[in-house]
Amino acid sequence: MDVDVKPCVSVDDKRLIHSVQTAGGPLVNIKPLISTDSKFLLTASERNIKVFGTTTGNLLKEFIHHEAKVIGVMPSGIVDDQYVSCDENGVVCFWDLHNENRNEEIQKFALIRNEKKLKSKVVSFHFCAKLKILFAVHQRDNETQKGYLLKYMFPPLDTIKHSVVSPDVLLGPGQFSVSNSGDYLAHLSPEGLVIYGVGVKLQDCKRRRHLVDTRFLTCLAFHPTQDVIATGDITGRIVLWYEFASATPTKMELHWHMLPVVDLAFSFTGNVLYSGGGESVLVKWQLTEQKRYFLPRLGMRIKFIATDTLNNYVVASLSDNGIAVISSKEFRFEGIIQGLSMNIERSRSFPAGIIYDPRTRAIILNGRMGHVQFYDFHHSSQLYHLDITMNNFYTQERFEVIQNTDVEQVAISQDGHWLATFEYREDLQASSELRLKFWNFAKEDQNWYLNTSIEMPHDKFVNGIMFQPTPAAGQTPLCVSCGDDGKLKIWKENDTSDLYGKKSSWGCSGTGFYRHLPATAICISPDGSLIAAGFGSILTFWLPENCHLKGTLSQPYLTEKIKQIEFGHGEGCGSMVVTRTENWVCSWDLFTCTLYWRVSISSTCLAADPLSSHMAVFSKNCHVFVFEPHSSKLVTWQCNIDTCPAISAAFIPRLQKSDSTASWNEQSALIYINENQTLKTLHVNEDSSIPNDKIDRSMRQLVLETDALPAPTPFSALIAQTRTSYDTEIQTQQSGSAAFGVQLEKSTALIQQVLNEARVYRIDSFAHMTSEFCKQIIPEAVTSKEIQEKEDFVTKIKESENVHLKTKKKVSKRRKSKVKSIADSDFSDLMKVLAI
Amino acid sequence: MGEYTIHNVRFYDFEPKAIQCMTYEDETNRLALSRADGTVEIWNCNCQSRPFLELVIYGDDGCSVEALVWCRGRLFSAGLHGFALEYDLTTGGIKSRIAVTGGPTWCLALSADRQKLAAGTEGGYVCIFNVMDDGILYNKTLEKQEGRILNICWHRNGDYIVTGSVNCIRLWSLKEGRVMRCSFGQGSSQEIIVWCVGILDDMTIVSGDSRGKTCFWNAELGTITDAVETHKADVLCLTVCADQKSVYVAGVDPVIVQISRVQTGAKKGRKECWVKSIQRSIHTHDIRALALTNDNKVYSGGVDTVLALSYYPPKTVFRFPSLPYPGSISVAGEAECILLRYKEHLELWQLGKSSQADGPTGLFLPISQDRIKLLEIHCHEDELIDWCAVSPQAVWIAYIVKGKLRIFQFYPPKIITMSDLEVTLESELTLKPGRSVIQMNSNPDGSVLVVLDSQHMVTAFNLDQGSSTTLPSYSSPVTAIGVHPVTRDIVVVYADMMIKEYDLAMQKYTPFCRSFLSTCSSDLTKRNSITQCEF
Repeated sequence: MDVDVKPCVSVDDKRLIHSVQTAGGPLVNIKPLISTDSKFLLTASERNIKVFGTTTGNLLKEFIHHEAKVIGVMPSGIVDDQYVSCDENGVVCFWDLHNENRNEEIQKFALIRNEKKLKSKVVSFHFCAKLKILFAVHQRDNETQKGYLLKYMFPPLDTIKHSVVSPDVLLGPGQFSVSNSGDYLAHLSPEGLVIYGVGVKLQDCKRRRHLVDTRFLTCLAFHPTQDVIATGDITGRIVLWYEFASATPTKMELHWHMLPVVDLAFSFTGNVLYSGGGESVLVKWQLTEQKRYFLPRLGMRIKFIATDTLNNYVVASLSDNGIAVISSKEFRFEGIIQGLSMNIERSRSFPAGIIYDPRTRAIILNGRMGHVQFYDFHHSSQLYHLDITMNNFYTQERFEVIQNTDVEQVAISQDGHWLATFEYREDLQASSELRLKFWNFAKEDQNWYLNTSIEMPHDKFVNGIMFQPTPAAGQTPLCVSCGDDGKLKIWKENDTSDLYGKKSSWGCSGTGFYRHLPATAICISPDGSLIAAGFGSILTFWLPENCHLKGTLSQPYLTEKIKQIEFGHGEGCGSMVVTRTENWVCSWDLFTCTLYWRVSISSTCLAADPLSSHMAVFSKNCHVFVFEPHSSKLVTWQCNIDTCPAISAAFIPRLQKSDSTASWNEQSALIYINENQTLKTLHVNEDSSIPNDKIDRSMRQLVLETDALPAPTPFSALIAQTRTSYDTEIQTQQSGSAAFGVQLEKSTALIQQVLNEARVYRIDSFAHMTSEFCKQIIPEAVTSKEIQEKEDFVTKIKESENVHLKTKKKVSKRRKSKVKSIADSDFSDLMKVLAI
Repeated sequence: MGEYTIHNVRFYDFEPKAIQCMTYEDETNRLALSRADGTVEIWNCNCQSRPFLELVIYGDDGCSVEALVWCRGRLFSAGLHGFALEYDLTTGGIKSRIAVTGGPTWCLALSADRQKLAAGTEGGYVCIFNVMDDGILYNKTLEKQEGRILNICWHRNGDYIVTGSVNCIRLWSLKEGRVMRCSFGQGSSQEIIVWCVGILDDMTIVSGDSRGKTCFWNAELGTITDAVETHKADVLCLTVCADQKSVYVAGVDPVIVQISRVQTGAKKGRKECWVKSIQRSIHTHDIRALALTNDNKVYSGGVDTVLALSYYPPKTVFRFPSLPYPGSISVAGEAECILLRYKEHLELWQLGKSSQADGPTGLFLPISQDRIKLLEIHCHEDELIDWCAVSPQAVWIAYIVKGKLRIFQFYPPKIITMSDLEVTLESELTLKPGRSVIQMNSNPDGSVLVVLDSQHMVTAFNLDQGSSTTLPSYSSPVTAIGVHPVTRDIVVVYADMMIKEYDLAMQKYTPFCRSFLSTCSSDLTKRNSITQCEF
């Protein structure tokens, strides 16, 4: 038995691994911003600033100006299309939305210059262009509630001067604001609303506090034109503070919300106030008429609300990582900009982890509450959402926490035709709800259908479900589940056909238990012949056909619960089983039935490559180790790949072979989700000189902008190609008829226009479009054909005339030549004839 | 503490009446309110946050009080009977009455200099009276206009009167004799009833109407400057704050809404507008009347019969439910009987008994013998009973009808009236001149009589010796008095919940009172006031 206690490092592989954020990150951690022309929506995900088109909902650009997490983006107010962004480390960046290539125009300032007393995170900021002041909230040391509000003078000379304005600002977005006139600054403190008169002289800041008793304030917004502040509180009340600078302000109450008001936004003119919260209803308050309108069923809790200057759109960030675009005039839902769907609020995000779907080559993740999503990792797009629980999302109540049912475990069969899901609800009052569902994929209409729903498949929480990777010939795979009730259950598809038609349903065909220990992990060998189940700290093996216990493996010193089991793949590893516990990764050999090696790692997740023998384990302190089960020698490893630990990881087979030279990374990409709910992939970098994951360009132009609205749909790309080909055709073949070409260009322009304006989520009926297109093109095309025919006719006539002329000429020539020849002849022939 | 068995009397069918109108005077701190049956109540609000009912002026059938006005401690009223009345607050009667041109009167208003009284009538007339020392005198009648006048208000300088009618508001200039009509326009066919009007010093007219809107008008131009939709249904009453910066409105939705004048706009674009500010939900039914003190305390009342006092800051609400008036219930202690007064009859009930004698505190005792109605005394038609009392053994019942005393005798049963020969006046006691009796009490053997007069002085008469003693005065008014049956000590309860015990023989407060009762008892909350005390 070869037992290594410390990870052995292979030093020959010098290539560095770094993690790169793919599209899947939270988009809704900062307040979104609509550009002044209402065409673009700006938001940030970690350190990337993303620009979406408001009409299409497509990601257009990505700016990477910052090294740390961006905490806010706002217009600078100095030049049009210039924006200010700030990150956690206090780097403020002024940049332009359109002049992306000129890096020199990006101005960067660091607010924190290694000053010891301010070595704290920046939480929120506001730049006041009128006064050239930047306000920033710094988190206090060891305090999560309050922070310092500091004032920085811009433009800075040598050092940025700063002074403390207020020592007790509530942390979080939307907790302080500056009026548009620049006269007042207001922020929320734990006691209430605090207002400072900023004024021209910055020294004499007049302070005014309005205390609120136990109705703690949650958000704040300044009226754009009047001296009015709107605040929301935890009881769902919105208060408009008139004459807030006086000791007795006049308060106007707007009360509809039951849950705390999360965000408030005034329209640009200030006539309308929008509010939202946990009810997932956007409320529009018409302030002059004292009326309110509702836009319900936005799907999830509203996190932020933003309005634009042209009064075209209101956008609401939802906590499932979507940004709802709402037309403000009609107050109608227009579309959603959806990132990787997730539940931002939940502490345990993505409980089901990452599952690879071999059929669609997508990954299956938890999506919205009670849903699973199929996410195409290669193209960074969401394929679809599947509603598993089929429940409405229950919003919370004021004094009670309402539990929603969520999907806790997901498994998919190797051929991608069966999906098993486990959902769980426990509110500690009613009895817990457990449901195991089997879904069948119908090829006919490409949809998932619920086949069987099993109530209470286990008595307690289910720790794992898995389909048999290679089933017996001609049979559907078996499914195995294990739970905290100490049971291991084998589920089998049974034929329940009757005279009404062919049917099948799933039922339990075998149960196994071992020493009344909870079954904590499960895995089936790649050939489908053996089930490995972890009962407490004991690894057990079962036959899937009859659920017979084949054997157990344990070591007296391994007392931790087994959390994950993986069978080895590939050469030399077929007999290996790797188990992961809290602090140990162990490899067992099934031939010798011994512990092969073990390594002490405080791990968070383990992933096995289906195409090779490699496995990867992520540790709690953000290290990644890649190894093969038959050896405790590491293939490669990397420390500190991320700032927070991974919660789930998987090897995803690549679509085409990577240019990566690392053999372990060649066939499959290793992806993971960290605790910040960001989906990341690991890249092996050839060049070890680059210290971290800096990307040379600070901006990723994802699509080309056209002069019209930017709409990079696949159709528009298609149209552009056909146009050029037509052009060449016209030049080569139909040089004569210019009208035809012009007409075609017009029609392609129409198509271009239609496709540009078309939204992915709301496209007009195709018949309507084609009829419009035909109207545009057909009558003109007919006439041009006629013209061409006419022309052809004319040329034919001309040609015929020419021919006629030519023949005439020829004839005359011939005649002439004849005459001439006759004339020129010396009559010898004639003479000959005559002589004869 | 002694042990008591408490009878929970649930068979008294007491019907509280809706509050109709209300008026408050800051100099005297008196609130006058009228109820739907024409009764006028005078509440003494001198004591901080603890007003108590000082005087009840009973109305009779056909009496209606639609408007009440205070003028230097004098109370005027007007109603659908078409008269303007002045009440005598010492006797509780009517001092003078004068007919109003135009018949039924809906509203009254006093000019700021308190010289003139204006009344708005059903016939569309506005009558102006001069307030004289000995009554009111007819001055003039303004030009008749179409439609009834529902509400009326004087401008501060006394030159303008604003009236509210159906579909329009009128501004009357007394100097020029001109009427300006502020119309709501002919937009909707539905008529708009202006229930209440007010005018600010800067000639802004405030109106509350049947659409639930509170409108602010420019009086010079006759146009609406702000319209605040405060209620869903009719706005019935409004009052303007002394600082002219806010207005309280209330109506059929039982919420009192404060509308405040605010400055909005950044420094350059200063603009004034009226915004709906804090609202108070105190009442359960329509609010008919609002009264405002100078320090912005709001008294409100309406169909739910509760008088409420609210103010902010700090957020405070007091509710004073309508209770049976003094003289409605009398208990015969020895006979365990209770006498209940109704409008036109009296009922004497034998209370129920329980066989179980004692038990833990708060135990509900089972009733072994149910209550029995012993007697019902009816008056003639159109006679209302004002007051009633029963002797401790329930042998005698005394009651007052139309100011006349009647006594019922059980054995043999008969009713004795004052004119009967059996009745002789035994003695006559006199108070200081100009004072009337508010409350009386005596000990069971009738040897000591304590009298509370209208000047809040307590006088004790020893009927055996024929002597009288005036008790020391106290800063707070008296709400209840009692005499101890054995020691003859006099107990006086004041409006600030101070209870004092006075030893009549020693002519000083008792040691017990000095040691214990000088501090307020914590059981008695500061909101209540004691109306009666018995031994």
